[in-house]
Order: sequence, then C-alpha cells, then structure tokens
Amino acid sequence: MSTNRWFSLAIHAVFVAITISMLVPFALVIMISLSDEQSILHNGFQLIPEIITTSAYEYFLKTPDTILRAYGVTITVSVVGTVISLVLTSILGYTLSRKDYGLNRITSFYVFFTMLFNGGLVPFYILMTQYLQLKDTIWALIVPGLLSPFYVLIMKGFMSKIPTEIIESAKVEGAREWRIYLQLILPLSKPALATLGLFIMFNYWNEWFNAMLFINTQDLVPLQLLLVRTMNTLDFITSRPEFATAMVSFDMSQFPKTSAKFAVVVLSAGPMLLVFPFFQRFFVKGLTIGAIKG
Amino acid sequence: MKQAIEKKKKVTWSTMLALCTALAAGLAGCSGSTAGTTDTPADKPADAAAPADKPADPPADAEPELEPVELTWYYPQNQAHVDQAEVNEAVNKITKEKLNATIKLMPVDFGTYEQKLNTIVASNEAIDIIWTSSWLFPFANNQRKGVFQPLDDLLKSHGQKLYDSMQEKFWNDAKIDGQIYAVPNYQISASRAGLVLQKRFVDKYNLDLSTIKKIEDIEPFLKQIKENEPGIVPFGTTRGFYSALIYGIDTKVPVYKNDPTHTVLPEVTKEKRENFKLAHSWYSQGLINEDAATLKSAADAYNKGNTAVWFDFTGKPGSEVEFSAAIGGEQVVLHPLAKAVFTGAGSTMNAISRTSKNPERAMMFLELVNTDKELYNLLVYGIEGKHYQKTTGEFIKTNPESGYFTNTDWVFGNIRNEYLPEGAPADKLEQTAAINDEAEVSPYNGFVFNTDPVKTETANVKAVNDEYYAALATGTLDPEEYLPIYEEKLEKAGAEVIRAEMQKQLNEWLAANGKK
Repeated sequence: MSTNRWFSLAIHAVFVAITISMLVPFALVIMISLSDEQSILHNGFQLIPEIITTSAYEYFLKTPDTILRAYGVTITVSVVGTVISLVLTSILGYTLSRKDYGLNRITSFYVFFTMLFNGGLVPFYILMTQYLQLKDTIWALIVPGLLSPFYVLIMKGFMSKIPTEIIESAKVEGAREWRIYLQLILPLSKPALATLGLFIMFNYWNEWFNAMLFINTQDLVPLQLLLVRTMNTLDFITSRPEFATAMVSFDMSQFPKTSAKFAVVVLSAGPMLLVFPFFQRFFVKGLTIGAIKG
Repeated sequence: MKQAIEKKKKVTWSTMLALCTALAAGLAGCSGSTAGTTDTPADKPADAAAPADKPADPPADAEPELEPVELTWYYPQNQAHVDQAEVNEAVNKITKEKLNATIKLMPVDFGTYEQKLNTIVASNEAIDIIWTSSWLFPFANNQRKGVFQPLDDLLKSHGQKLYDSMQEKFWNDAKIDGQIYAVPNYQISASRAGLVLQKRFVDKYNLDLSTIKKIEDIEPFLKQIKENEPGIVPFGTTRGFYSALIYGIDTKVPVYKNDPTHTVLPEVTKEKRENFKLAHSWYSQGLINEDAATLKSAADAYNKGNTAVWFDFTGKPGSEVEFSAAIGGEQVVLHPLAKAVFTGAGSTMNAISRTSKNPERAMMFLELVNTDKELYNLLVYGIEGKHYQKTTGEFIKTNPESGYFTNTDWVFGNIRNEYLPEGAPADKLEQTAAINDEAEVSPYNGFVFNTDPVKTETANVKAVNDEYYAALATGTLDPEEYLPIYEEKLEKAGAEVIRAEMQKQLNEWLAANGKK
C-alpha cells in the first residue's frame, strides 16, 4: 500500500516537473513582455520583474489599425484556407483510399512524388506572379497552402481504415458517391478532419514567407510577417557591422526593445493557444481510434 | 505463378516509368514556356540600348510627347509607413507633371530586402529601379549576374544633369569593368575616425582637445573621469576602437599608406596588438564599460547617457545632433583623430534593372529624384504640414509618429537637396560636401577583392573573429594570454591563405592598371 503510494507520488512529481518545465517558458515570455526595459538590462530576464509595465504593448497598440488589420488578414486566411484545404484534402484522400478506384496507384504516386521534388523558389514565384497573377492578393496567402501531400496521405491512411462494407451497404441502399462521401465518410472522419484541420490552421497562422514574397500592400500583411519584419530588421542591423561602417545613419531608438519582441510573441501566439483546447477533444480521440484500429 | 507476379511488378514499374516520363515532359514543357516568356525581358538590354540613343537625336522638342508609363522602384526601409499610399500619390502628382510617368514605390524592410529582391530578380519580373549597395543586395555580385543595365549612354541622353551633379570619384564606385551600372546617392562618403566627448566633462576638466592627437592621449582625461565622476563610464565601446583609419593603414586594402611594395598586411598587425593591449589596460583600470564585449549595437555603449567618451568610426557632419539626441540631450563634441578618407560611394545606389521596359524614363526619374528638391524631400520626409512642419529657412520639424517617417535620406538620392531636421548644424550639407571633397582617395580605389577562391577560409576566419574579436578588442580578455590563441586559431582558419590570395589579386590589379 505505502510503496504504491510512494510510487504514484513519484510519478506525479515527475509529471508535475515536466508540466512546470513546459509552463515556465510561457510564463517567462509573458512576464518579459511586461517588464521594464531598464530592469531587463540590469537583471536579465526574470519571472517576477522589478517593474511591471505595459509599454511594450502600447508600442504596438499605438497604431491599432496596423495590428488589427494584420489580425484580420491572418484570421481570414486561416479560416478560409483551412476550410477549403480540408475539403480538398478529404476529397483527394477519400478517392485514394478507395480500393476500387482504378488509377489508385498512379494517383498516389503522383501525390507522393510532389513530397520528394518541387520546382524550387523561383519557378514557384514565377507561377504565382506571372501565370496565376496572384501577387498582392489574399489568395497568394491561401493557395500555396491548400493541399499538402503529406496530409493527403495521412487522410488516406485514416480513411482506408473505414470498413469497405459500410460503403458497399450504402450502395446497396441506393446511395450515390457524393452521398456516401458527405453523409458517411465525412462524419466518420471527424477525428482526422479535426486533427488535420488543426495542423493546417497552424500552418496558415504561422505562414509569413509567402506574404513576404507576394504582398506589397500594407493592408494585406498578416500578423506573422509583421512580427518577422520587426525581428529581422533588428537582427539584421545588429548583426552586420557593415551597416555601421557603411556610413549610414541609423537611429536605433526606432526599433522595439527586448520586451516589445516578447510582446509580439504573446500577441501572435496567444490566439492559437485559445483555439487549441477546442480541437484537443478530437485530437485525443483521433489518436486512440487510429491506434485501436491499426 | 512467379512469372505472373513478376509480370505484375513489371507492369507497375512500367506504369510508373511512363508516369515519370509524362511528368518530365510536362515539366519540360512548363520550363520551356517559362523560358519563352522570360526571354523577352532578357532581350531587353539589347534593344534598350537602341531607344536610349534614339531620343538623343531629336533633342528637347521631342519631350512633350512622352507616353504615360508606370515605373517600379524597390528600396529598403526600416518599417512600413502608414501613409505610404498618400505619399506615393503626391509623388505621382509631381512625376506625372514632369515626366508623364507614375512611380510605384515598393519599400521592403531591411531584413527581407535581399531575399525578396533575389527572388524577384531571378524570376525576371519587369521592374525598373532597384536600390543596391556594397552591403545589402550587393552591387558587384548582382551586376555579375546581369541584374542591372549599363547606364553610360542613358546618362548621356537622359541624365546629363544628374551626371554633372557628382564628381568623377563617385561615379567610379558605380563602375564595373569601366561601365557605370548605378547612380550613387550623394551622401557622406568619407570617414573621419575620432572621439565623441560629452561637452559637460570637457568643460568641467578644461580638456584641451588640441593636445589629443592619438587615441592614447585621452587616457589621463579618462582617469580623471573615473576618479571624480561616480556613476559615469569613462569610455564606452562595443567592438573596441581598432580602426585602420587611425593607424595609417589604407582602408580599401590593408596596406600601409605609401608602402611602395604594396604588401598586404596580415589579419593581426602590430598596431592591432598594441591597440588590444591598450584596451586591456583601460579595461583593467575600469575605464571601459564592463559589458563592452557583449553589447550588440554600437549605440548601446553610450545611449544611456552615462558615458563620457566613445569612439566613432565615421565622424559624419551633423552627427553631434544625432548623438546628443540619443543620449538624452547632453551636448557632445566631435574630435577627429585622423584625416578624412574617401570610403566610396558604393554604400547606397540606385540602379536600373535590365528587365525595365522603360529604362530612359527610369533614368529621367532618377535624375528628377536627385535634382528636384520638392520630390526628394517628399520621399524623405513626407507631405509638408502633415508629416513635417517647416520652421525657419531650410529647417523642418519631423515627427516619428506622423505616419511617414523614413529616417533614411540616403536611400532616395542626393542628400544635398534635403531640408535639415531641427538642431542640425546649418552648414551640415556644406560640411558633408567639404569632407567628401577633401577626403583622400585610396590609391587602391577600384580594386575589389573577389573572395570566391577563399570562401571556406573567409567563413572560418569570421567564426574565429566572432568568438574572440569583441572580447579582445574591448580589452575584456588579456591579450598576453589570449592573443597568441587568437592568432593561432586565425592561422588554422586560413587567414594567411586569404592574405596571400588578396596579395595575388592586388598584384594582378596593380599590373593591369599600370600602378606597379
């Protein structure tokens, strides 16, 4: 009895320690973003800062339209992108999962092939700007992330676990392909849809590179690009001695201070932390279903 | 049975093969058509040269018939401006009237400028003007890739006024193999290394600046500060104060000035050893800020306002105002320790892309930016009354929060056309021009060290310097102990190989230019 007790205590202690080690960095980021710049300079990063100030947030909220618009762009892109992407991924995944589909292997290979090879940055850029004419449109942020071959293969893997008998019996009952897909397959695939939906949404949320390449209009800059810009420009200037010696005048006070960088992290990652718990329910279920059936 | 299986296997493989071939064909088709479209702009320079000459024949009277065009201009900025669109509109109003052209301003932030421009350039997108420099989106490399078009003829036909606005030595820095490929932005192009001192201490201790000839001469003053001014750091630095400028070494190539043998100096010179020793003695006496080796930006050394003296590599006219603004209003004195050296105009230039559909117009626009006061100040400071206020004469009051605050006059053009921010010396522009004029031009001007043959060594040496340089140069590490280690590591990293390669290239250059 008592050994058992000690045993479970030890296990709890281990998990408490792990949890703390994961929570502390989050807390630290939040606290630094609230710290006073001078106290960071003097004492380094502290969990409980000497002086608490919201000046870093004020720096960003000083021009609220910029950041609100960036939020708007990111949310629109994430939501629209995730919905369209899920539709495409599940349609393609479902098709591939059907063993009675004749071109199954070729199509699978076609999808798989794009995981190994891609055209490279420049052809991608040419395609997007000259053929699809997507430069400076919100679609430039959505289209590139619509279909990930990896997610298609995961979806296929999940859907091929759905017993063929279900499809057959539906056919016997007189259902056509669309009805089977919409009313049987999709509801059964909810865990996979939720899991992939979460991944896809994270990808869209974190995406900045496409925006960097294709977006010039200030109105379409997503949140992450705003963050990358501030960080990059600062790093760039501090890491290049040429900059100082290039006889170029530069006013460092134009750049956000340390605490502002962390404030950006909080501002950009915060909303995703709130979204996660809603998906988590499906996430766990999806994993277990996969495990039992596999 | 076995045969059947094998047969089946074969079928799958052949299907895959067929698919692969089909894909490859598809890809080839794709790239073929890409090449087709991209060829058109690539051909451009050839026929661009022709129209460049053409308008030269019928002179001024052909001008009013300019067709409306749109030009694109990519340049770097610190941050996005809220009122960018509004300023662009105002710019277009001017250019529409004078050139019948509109300009699409494309500011890109510094951190992503190079990556974005590389992609745009590689995709052969039709753009007109590209900002380039020696340190960001490098001029020489990109010219070698054929990104820019030669401007000599264009300057003659559409930019004579622009060409005349700068001395030969500026244009020389925009030349590669004898042809001009960019328009330098006239700004301070000379370096005058020296000390910056807070005026209150200079006055308090009656420091006679004329006695300070070498960096060592400042030591007694630093000691005075140390003893009498608690809380004040006598000397603030981030990466030390070693500079070829103050030790009679050429800045283009590490060679002693007036050395008839043109011997390239090793990475660690005897002056550098002396300098490190001096730094260490100051550091151990507590004259240098303790965190010197770990500070990132040069400004961190002094911007808290509690630093009495610091070293400044550039000595730019008007920088007293900038320094005193950075330290919270205390006045400072600039004391040069060396003669001004011409450091080249390559640090900021605007070039015309070879994909430009209207190179003549781009040239006309560049001329306008560099000669039209109104247009230039609009780009630098924004709209009068909204983004800045005129005070007296040429002076203006800017506002960083106004929605358009570039703080980068040197990106756009000739700074001699700019309004002066409040507090700048009234003769800032004259001083700049004077220093540029009197600055010594290195005899090695025009020599460009091609690091390609020693890429690995360069990276290795950089790694060693990243590890040791700041700590040694600020005196944090004892040179007695660490200098030998540093030198040994440099040797291992291939510093000598780089030196030999540079010597070889320099000799070739000297021979080719009849200097040896």
